[in-house]
Amino acid sequence: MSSFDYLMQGFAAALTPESLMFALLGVLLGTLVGVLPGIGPAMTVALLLPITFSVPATSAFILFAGVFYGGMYGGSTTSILLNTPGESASIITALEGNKMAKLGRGAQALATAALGSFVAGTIGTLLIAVLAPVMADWAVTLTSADYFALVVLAFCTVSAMLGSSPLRGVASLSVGLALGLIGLDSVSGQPRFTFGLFELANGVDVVIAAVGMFAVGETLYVASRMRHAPPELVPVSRTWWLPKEDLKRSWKPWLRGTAIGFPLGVMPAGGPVVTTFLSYAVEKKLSKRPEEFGKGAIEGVAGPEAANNAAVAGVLVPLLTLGLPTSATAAIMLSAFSSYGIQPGPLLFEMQPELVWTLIASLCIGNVMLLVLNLPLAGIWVKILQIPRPYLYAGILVCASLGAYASSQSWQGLLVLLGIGVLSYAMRRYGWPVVPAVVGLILGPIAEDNLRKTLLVNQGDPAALVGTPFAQLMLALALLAIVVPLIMKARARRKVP
Amino acid sequence: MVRRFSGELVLVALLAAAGVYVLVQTPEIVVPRSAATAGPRLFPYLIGGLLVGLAVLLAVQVLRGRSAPPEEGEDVDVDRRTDWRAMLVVIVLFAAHALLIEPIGWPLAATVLFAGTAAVLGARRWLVVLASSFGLAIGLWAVFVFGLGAYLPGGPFQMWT
Repeated sequence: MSSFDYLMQGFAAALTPESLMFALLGVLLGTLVGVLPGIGPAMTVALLLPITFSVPATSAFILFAGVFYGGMYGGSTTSILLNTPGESASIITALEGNKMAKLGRGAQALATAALGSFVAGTIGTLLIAVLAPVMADWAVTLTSADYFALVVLAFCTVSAMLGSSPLRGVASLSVGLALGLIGLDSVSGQPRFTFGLFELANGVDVVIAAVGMFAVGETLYVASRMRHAPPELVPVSRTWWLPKEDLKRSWKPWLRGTAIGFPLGVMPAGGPVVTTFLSYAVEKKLSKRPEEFGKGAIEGVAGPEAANNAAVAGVLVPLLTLGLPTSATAAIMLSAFSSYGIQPGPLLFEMQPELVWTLIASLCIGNVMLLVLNLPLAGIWVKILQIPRPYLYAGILVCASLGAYASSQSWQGLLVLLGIGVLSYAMRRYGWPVVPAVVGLILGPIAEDNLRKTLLVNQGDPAALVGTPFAQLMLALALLAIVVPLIMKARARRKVP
Repeated sequence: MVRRFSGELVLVALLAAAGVYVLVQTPEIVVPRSAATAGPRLFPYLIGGLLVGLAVLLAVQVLRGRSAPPEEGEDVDVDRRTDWRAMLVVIVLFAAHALLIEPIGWPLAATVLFAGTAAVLGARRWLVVLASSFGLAIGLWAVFVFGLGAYLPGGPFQMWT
């Protein structure tokens, strides 16, 4: 059977009432958490992990993927109307989007963001359908040296490209790597670095680490320096569609954003956030009206919003075909796979075709739902933003406890969660980005496994790590990811004495 | 060139301490004979070295007065002074919540956590605080226990299950 037949079967399975319900629930929840500050898609998927005990795998992944897609839509709404991105992938949108809203063009900004997300999400999902099986076939030939190089690339891109200080990004990554060392050694099965505590023998749970880093850390940080003035909301009229003039200015940025976002999502290159920066830079460069940038250029909303959604679709490719998560949300989805006893990787498409294709079809449907939900309902999402902050953050803490307790089943797990939350507070306070820590924790053990396998097979010869062209390419890119920002910083410093 | 002590040094010291701990503990790992070339000690040594090296570099940066701006957020006022009281109360509340889950059940422990946190962060309409904290706690508990089949100790509500 060809991919097309499989996809049609997937659509048949995705159009059942049960699948549709899970997709709708997923995109609703995703948009909600995208709109709300302090709680994002990673945390939401972590919170929903207990459903893996009671619903079939396909339904669970439809729900999770809906949350992931929906989070990107929701983030743009707050960026535009509040100048405060709900998600880090929407920071760029706030630049132009909020200016547009202040000029009374909020409706158009919302529409170009939603339509751009839709276009990019749909193209991205179709690209998954086309590319993923090909990539799975090719991935079978990858060696452990190749995997190791890929992980190293992911490390370098997340730590160097996020945040203002690359050194602090690497430090954050190493915090995650150190946390990832805790637990049983995967080869010899002996406990390492457990501080003699029985609870740590199985390592730091990914869910606890992610919820602690994101939700608890954020809440403590907000508690320590809360803004008491109410957020400044730009009023907006109801939107249905884009005026012709704006559509003309938007469609090219949508496509360019997709072209930038998808490949960078597939490569472990820092996830959706980096792509929005790149897309913005490209649009600014190509624009016929560069003077409008910074004052509300629609291209600066259309491009990055398409890019982050395309990147989310791209992130699913390595997750499904290599078992390699490149963002925090993907990593938590990976732990959901393992709770079903499913091993994502090159063989997933052969072993679980029904699951994969239903998931892909559901993503297409979820995208349509998101468009319908977001265009006319933007006003309702904005109302949700007016939840008083004390209640919002109290609720986030309660949800954090809920997710962590449901996954660890012990109060000691909650104390670990609190400890990680305090650490995350300190990191935020001093400008250490927290995402690299989560990525390090998740990918660290994968890096170690593949490093050791490579060396074992090659009698300990370190040259084996650069033994394949693919590994060489990945490591070269990793080097670039570290060096280029340093050069750019040095040049910027020279300009401003 | 006397600069104010930066709290970031505490974070850096923690990083160094983690690195030293890893380096000191690594020789304790038993290396099976089959894993002579790339055993369970290799990666920890690399990470331990990385941690210590980074701590040194960061310490130099911090002492020379180069710091990164604190993270921005929509509910965060970066220019405010740290409110230690609010933060400590939230930490204590969360720890108390963790210890209370088994004796009094998740719904009541979560009510304490929600009401306490909301009050510390500035909620003052006590009736609303109490009603919403208990309502949310019992609602979430019911959804997770009955809807998702998760296990959460119910305390006095355990008899409903």
